[in-house]
Amino acid sequence: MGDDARSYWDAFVAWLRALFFGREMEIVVIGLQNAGKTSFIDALSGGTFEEDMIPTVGFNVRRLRRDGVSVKTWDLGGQERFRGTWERYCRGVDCVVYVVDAAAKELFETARNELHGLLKRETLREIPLLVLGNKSDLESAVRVQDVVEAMELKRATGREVCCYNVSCKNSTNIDVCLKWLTAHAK
Amino acid sequence: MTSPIADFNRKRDEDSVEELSPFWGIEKGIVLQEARCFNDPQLDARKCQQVITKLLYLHVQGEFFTKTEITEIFFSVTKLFQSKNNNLRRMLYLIIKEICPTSDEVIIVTSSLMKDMNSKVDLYRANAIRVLCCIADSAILGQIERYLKQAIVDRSDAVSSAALISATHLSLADVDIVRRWSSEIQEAVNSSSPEVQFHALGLLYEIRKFDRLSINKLVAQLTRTQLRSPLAQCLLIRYVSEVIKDSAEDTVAPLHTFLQSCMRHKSEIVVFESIRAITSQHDLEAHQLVSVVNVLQLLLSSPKPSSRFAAMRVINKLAFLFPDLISNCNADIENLISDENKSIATLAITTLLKTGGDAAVERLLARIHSFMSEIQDEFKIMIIEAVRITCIRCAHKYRILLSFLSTYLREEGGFEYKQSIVRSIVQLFNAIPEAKELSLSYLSEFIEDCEYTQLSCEVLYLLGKETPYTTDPGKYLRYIYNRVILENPSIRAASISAMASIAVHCEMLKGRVLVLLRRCLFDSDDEVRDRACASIALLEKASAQKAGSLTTHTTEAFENVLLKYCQSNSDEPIDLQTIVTSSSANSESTNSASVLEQEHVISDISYSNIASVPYFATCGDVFKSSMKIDLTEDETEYKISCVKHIFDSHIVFEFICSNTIKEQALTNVTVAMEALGTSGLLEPTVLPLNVMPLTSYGSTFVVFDHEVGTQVEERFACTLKFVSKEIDPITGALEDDGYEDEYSIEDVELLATDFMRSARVQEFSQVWSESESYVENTFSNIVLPHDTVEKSVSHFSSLLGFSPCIGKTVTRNATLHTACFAAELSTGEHVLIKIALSMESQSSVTATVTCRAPQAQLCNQVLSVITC
Repeated sequence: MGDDARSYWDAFVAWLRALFFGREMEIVVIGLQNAGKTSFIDALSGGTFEEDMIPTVGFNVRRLRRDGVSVKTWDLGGQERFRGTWERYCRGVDCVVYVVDAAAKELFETARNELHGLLKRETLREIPLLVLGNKSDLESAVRVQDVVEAMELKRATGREVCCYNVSCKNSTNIDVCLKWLTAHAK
Repeated sequence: MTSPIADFNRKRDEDSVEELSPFWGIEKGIVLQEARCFNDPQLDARKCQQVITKLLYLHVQGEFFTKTEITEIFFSVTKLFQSKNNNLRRMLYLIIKEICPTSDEVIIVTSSLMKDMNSKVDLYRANAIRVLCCIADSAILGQIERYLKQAIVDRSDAVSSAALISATHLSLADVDIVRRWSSEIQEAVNSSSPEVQFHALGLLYEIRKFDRLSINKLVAQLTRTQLRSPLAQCLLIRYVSEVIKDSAEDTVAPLHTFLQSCMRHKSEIVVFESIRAITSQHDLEAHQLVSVVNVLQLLLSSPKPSSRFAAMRVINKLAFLFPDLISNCNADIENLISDENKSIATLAITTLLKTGGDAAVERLLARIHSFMSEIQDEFKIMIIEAVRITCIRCAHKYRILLSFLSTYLREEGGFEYKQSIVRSIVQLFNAIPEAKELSLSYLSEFIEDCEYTQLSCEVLYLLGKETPYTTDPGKYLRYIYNRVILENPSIRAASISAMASIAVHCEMLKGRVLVLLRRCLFDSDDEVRDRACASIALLEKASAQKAGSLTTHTTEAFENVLLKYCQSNSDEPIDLQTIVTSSSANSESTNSASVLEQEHVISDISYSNIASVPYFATCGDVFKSSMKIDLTEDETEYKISCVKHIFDSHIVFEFICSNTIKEQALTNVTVAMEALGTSGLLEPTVLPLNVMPLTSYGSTFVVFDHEVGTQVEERFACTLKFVSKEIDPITGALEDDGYEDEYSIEDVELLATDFMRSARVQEFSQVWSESESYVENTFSNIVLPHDTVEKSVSHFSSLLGFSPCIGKTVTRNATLHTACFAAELSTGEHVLIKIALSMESQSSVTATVTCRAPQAQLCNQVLSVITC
């Protein structure tokens, strides 16, 4: 009895929530360490930029509310020991955001290999991918075309792929990302 | 309208036709399926909680989860961090801590936990701290240390307690990091929350427990203040009694006063803890306990059964030591016999039995009779135990007490209960000889209707052993023989042994027993028939003396003979008569086996055979025998080791040899020793070993003559020489012709120290000062590759072959140490060695060795041996 009432109630709350907050979505943010994943989520939520961040050990889950969309973000650690667990958190999300440090050309190859290793997985089929070349405020940062090329995004077929250059520090292009993301909300 | 609860109860009554546990029928496979709900995009918090509960239930029930299953559960559980539901989060913490996957996986939750640790919700903070401390490695610990330190003094009690408990767990692994938080922990001890205070005190003790002074200080400081928490107070009492135990009598007076004051504490738990502390001290004296007994007496009439029980238990313990002191409370204790709690009543009765005078015994037994039918076996056992003690105390009451015991022997009861009665009776008649006959007759009545085979056998054995010395052994034969007619094979066999034993010791009953035994020859059971047969044979053939010796044979002797019989191929039966003789002289082998066998018997287990060789009988006493030195590697075909024996005018090398190859026999074994130096020893005499024994040891000897009182240093190259013969695998006989062969073994050295033995020196310093006239030489700053001083001392001891007369034991973690060795030469002169050791770095010890000897050459020889 109690359970039934509860599940009805939950359904009702979900309907109300949909009415007020509109849609919901779940994204996962991955990329090599120090690419700016946590900073990107901070920027997305409208927070201020911090210079020295502690490396994420494991993951953090946060819920943002932007443009009438409730976004659940899984912010995963980029250190090598955590890369094996990325796939577990990518299953079933609405979008995968892959953050690349556009100013660290020497890491492009590792970043590309990790990305394509992940895209090959059956569980990630058809999940839209957003690649971000972060730190565009730095002088050594490459252009967006170069990021597309370096990551060999042409190879990533069978899914929607988009690439932007952003700067979490100056909040450059963050609004565009948000728009792209919310367009994929359910 | 009915209230919802009443409604619920009614509904439950209807359903309760078969009331099921909520955990009934949980299956791992199904639960693992259900656990998929953790991955749902819209979490159902309630369902997730239930699934976690089921998983935890399975886990604590010992259900095995494979590594992949654990990984799978763990990662799906981590998804639940998205939920803000407090109860679910709580379960989440719990399951992470419980299933605890491998460290490289569990680290994934670190960041989330660190976030929770700084959350505003107390529940999150407290639990995140607990989990984090469980999973943290040293790197993470460094990162969170600051937060943990703060959490210890958090204003929320839950958080503070969680941090303290986690720190306690951490201190087991790494106490140093926790020590850095001392000031915070100290602050927490003064917390207003009882729980925090308790945990903080426990932790404070944990980090200081290896520092006695600091514990003394802590105890002294806290005994002056009033701790808010009764539990903390109990801890303090425990620490106090520890300090009292370790300290000198005169310094602990304030602590005794403290313990006494704790007995007036308003919390009963503190009162009991202090009583326990006082009563568990060593060398208690009655006057110290007067106040304790007064407090206990008050507690005996407490309305709480637990208090009554606790008080009664202490009194019971004290009753052993101070019966007079306790007798003041006898009136109160007697009231407790009728206590509805049977544990308390049993304790009361047993206490009274211990303390009550002779007069009270009968009255008490009467009360017990009415009480026994109501209690369980374990309580009955306690009472039997108390009756036994009473009986030994009041020996002249044994008739009453024995009849009491026998009454209960006849009544229904479990095995252990019955066994305890039987054992009590046995102890009684061992302690009180007058009680023996009565006891035995009770026991023989008991086996009439004993339902436990083991117990019957025990009693029958006892009857066989004890009844021959009673006035009328024949009386018991009837009881015993009845068992043969009525019982199972085990008891029948035991009865036959008992009868045989009686017949052996009572010549006059022999005829009657033989008649009875013959009737048993047609028993359906093998063992019974065999025993009857053997007993008859014994009684008919052998004298009582002989037969008696059969029963007293050591089993080892019998086993030896049987083993030998099994090994030999002889068809001759074993003659039991020879066992006695062959057990005393093991060498009398009954079979006529090969040479190998004989060798086996002769060779001694102790490694040197020199005492058994006639050649050395005329050489005088051995001045010194060295340690055994192995000359071959392990796992080689032959094991050879050497012992050097120094006689007055001979140097003997004993080579102890053992063969490991079954198919080959080595005969005429000798060792050729070639001197490599220039010591000028003459050609030695060689005593060969006929056959190198298989798996056992035999010796060959090389004997050099030398001048009395001289020391020789020499190195010898050694070769084992022998004639190898094949063994016929079927008959085991040696083939006649073999071939000569040799086998090279390691070199043997003769050192100056071989001529020295440990001298018995009363006062080393005195001998040292008397030896001024000797030659002294010192080698300093010798670096030894040992990491403790202790190892260095044993290093020198093994080089010299004896242990130091001063400085044998090294205090733990000592960095400076002096060891003195006193040696004696065959001339009676002394060689004195002083070794000063100092630990300079973590991995090396530096030694300075000073040697005093009568001659300069000897002094240098000794130094070179021990400093090489």
